[in-house]
Amino acid sequence: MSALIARPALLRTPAQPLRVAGRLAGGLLLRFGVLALLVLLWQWAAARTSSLFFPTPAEIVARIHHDWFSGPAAHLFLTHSVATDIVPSLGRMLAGWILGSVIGVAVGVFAGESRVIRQVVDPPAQFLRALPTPAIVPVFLLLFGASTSMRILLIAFGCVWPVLLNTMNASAAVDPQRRSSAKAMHLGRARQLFLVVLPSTGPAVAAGMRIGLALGLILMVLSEWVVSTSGLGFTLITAQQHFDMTGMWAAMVALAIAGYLINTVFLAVEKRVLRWHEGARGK
Amino acid sequence: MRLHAVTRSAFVHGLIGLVGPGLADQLVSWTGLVAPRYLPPATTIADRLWGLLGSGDFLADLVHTLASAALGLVLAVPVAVVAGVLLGLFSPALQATRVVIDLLRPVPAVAIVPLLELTVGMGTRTVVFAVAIAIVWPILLNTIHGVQDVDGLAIQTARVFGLRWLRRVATVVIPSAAPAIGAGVRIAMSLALVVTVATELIIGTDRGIGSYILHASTGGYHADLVFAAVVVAGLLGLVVNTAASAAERRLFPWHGRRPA
Amino acid sequence: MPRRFSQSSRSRRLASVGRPGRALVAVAAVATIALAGCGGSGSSASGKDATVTVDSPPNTSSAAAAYAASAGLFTKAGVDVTMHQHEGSQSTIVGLLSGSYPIVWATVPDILAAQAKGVGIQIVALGDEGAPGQIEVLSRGDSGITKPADLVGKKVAVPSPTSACVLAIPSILKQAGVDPAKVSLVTVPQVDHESTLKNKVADATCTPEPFQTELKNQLHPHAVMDIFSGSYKGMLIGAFVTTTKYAAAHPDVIAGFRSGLEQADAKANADPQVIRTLMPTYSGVDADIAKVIALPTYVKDVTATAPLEAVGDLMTKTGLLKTTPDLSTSFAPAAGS
Repeated sequence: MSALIARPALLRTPAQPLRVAGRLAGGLLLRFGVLALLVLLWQWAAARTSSLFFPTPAEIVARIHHDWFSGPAAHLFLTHSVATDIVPSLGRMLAGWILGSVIGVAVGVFAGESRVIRQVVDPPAQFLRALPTPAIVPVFLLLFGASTSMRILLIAFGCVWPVLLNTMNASAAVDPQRRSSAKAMHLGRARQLFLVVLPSTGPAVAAGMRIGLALGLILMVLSEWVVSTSGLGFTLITAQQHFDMTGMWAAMVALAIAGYLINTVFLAVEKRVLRWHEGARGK
Repeated sequence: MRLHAVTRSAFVHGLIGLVGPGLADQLVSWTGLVAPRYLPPATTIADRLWGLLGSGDFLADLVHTLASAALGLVLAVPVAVVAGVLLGLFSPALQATRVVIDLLRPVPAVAIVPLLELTVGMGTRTVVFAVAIAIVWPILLNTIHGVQDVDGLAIQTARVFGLRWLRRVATVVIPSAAPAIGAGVRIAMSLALVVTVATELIIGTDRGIGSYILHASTGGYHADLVFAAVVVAGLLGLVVNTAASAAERRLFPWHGRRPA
Repeated sequence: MPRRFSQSSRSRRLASVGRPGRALVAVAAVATIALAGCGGSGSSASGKDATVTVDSPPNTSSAAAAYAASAGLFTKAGVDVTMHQHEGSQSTIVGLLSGSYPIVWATVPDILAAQAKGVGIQIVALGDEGAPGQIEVLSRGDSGITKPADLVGKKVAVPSPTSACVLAIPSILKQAGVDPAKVSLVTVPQVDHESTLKNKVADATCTPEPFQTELKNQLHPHAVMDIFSGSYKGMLIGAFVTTTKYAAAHPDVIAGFRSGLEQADAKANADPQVIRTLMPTYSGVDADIAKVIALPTYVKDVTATAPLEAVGDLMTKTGLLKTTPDLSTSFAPAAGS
């Protein structure tokens, strides 16, 4: 923010660039300083105790580089494992998450229209959402086999509930005046939906989708513990079973970074889309 | 009188809704998609469920699971709320820790369980810690948002009145942020239950619904008992969430409709 | 809309802010105390009369130890042993390392893999060896898979990545002239083997008892290969391990355990009925299934190195271990040495 204010000043005097650089550096230091500090602390503590179960960050980074970034330059230095493990895993997770979110919004908007339907949909949604996932994985396995579609459906199953419940409740909370004015203006069902309901429920839907993202990662890992031969979750659990601690940590760090990146992208998209909707709402 | 009519119809409609999954399960058995031996029909599950609810052993397991989830909440809520209030009030602190929070948050609790087992042990303690770690995030984030949304004018006015920082926080910030914190705690409550049973299943604790499920599957095929216990876990989550929502409505009636 | 002061309702709420705070602190204190209490370790103070809890999955492998405990053979040898049922999907070695249990049962490949990684565990006593017919690779009756060569391009469900199945199947395939890389071994919890075979999620299964017997009763499968046949007859399955620290501090427990187990092994080999009678209470399996499940051969010499070397060699050949392990310190030292 301060960089934006400083920009016009940049054009004025030659001393400004240094101040701008200083401010930028200060901003970066603030944002990543704590993280860097924690990592250094970890490195120091792990190197001193040399525990089998807590490898140093240096070892973990080396392992990550070896497993996923030591490929040929033509492939952006990515190794083959990225294509066989990371990309399919994350791809399945995103597919399941999108599928779950779409179904959640559709059913939620529909259910939000009537109080009776809401009262019918709410308890089974809460019930299904509360089922312990390690116990339902075998059910999905039996119903859909050990295929990619099984894993996507499992993730979708987990992601649908927060989106559905959020959408349903937010849709019910849409200002009834807006609804009636839309009806009075003889707007078709679809236009009512896009101009009134969706914009108002936007933030709630986004919140539900964010929860779904976290759930999606968990389900992605869980779904690869059974009948799997590849994937990030598979790598994690196999490393643990072979007492390959560094490998286990590498997989966990990869998961954290992937989750962080996806979340950041989602937040940026959310801000854009919601800003547009704010406009449509006439705020 | 009116309120009673509303809740009674809600109850009836809810029961009708709950029939849905049961019907789906029954159909799966009837059509033979999955043999009843592996996924029993809803009628069998309902019958076993009735038996479970009368079994002292199972009820003890159920109480144990609830207690573990509750302990996880007790651990996480103070930490998350205090951290959330501080981070919400001091934006440089929030900026500094944002990256760390966003990096730690997506790591699934299931991935941390093996590490916890090695350091904390194989028992209930690990379950409680796993739950606490998993539910800290929704409470923390909701608290931060709630605190950030507090009317600046109210805080300023309190300052003008000469209230010290701690009193300002206690008398203005926290009550204003309370609905958001309440929503976070409600989300955390249902999450706590799910993570408790899931962790019990993964570790193989001695007591708890997860332990019961494992026990029912090790000696041979008792899919009916397994799924009856799973259904109990689901119903428990439903009951807890409904109670939490009702409590939230009672405590913060001015807040209006909230998302799940 | 800005929340203006509504003095009455707000002051009412203000008055109650203090009380929840205090209550919270009290609850947190109680919780900390409660947590400190539960989840204790498996053995009390180190002394000759301490109870040693052995964590083990309730399988046929560890049944001899359970028999020794119930028949008082351990007590006669000077140790007080209780068996603890291990049921989660995590390895028992995790419980050993976290200090939850002093002695645990684990599969030999698990043990050698951990020792190769430098994990400080040592073998107290070897457990059992595979008998012919104990574990077979089974396929659906209607699948047309009847011999090893038919498994090419198919999926075989195994209980874990370090089970005997993972060791033996590639070797047997190679002997039959089949490239093991063409057969994929996937991990499925043994509870789900029967259903995954029935629903064609896997094309064949390699399942330990008692699930193998139940699967045979229900699905009438083909037996494609016998894991413990030919050169793998008698391959070690499981063993009891402890931490190096514990072994150094309690040589008396080690000696007593070895002695009690050897006696139980001899009795069980001579009269398998004692194991069959024990299985229902030990593992919850039905009595009629217990009557017909395949039992292993229990080890005669619980500290023999040769069988361990055989498994180590096999693990190196199949790539589970990078180098042949040095077994000189694999066993806990004998008392008095």
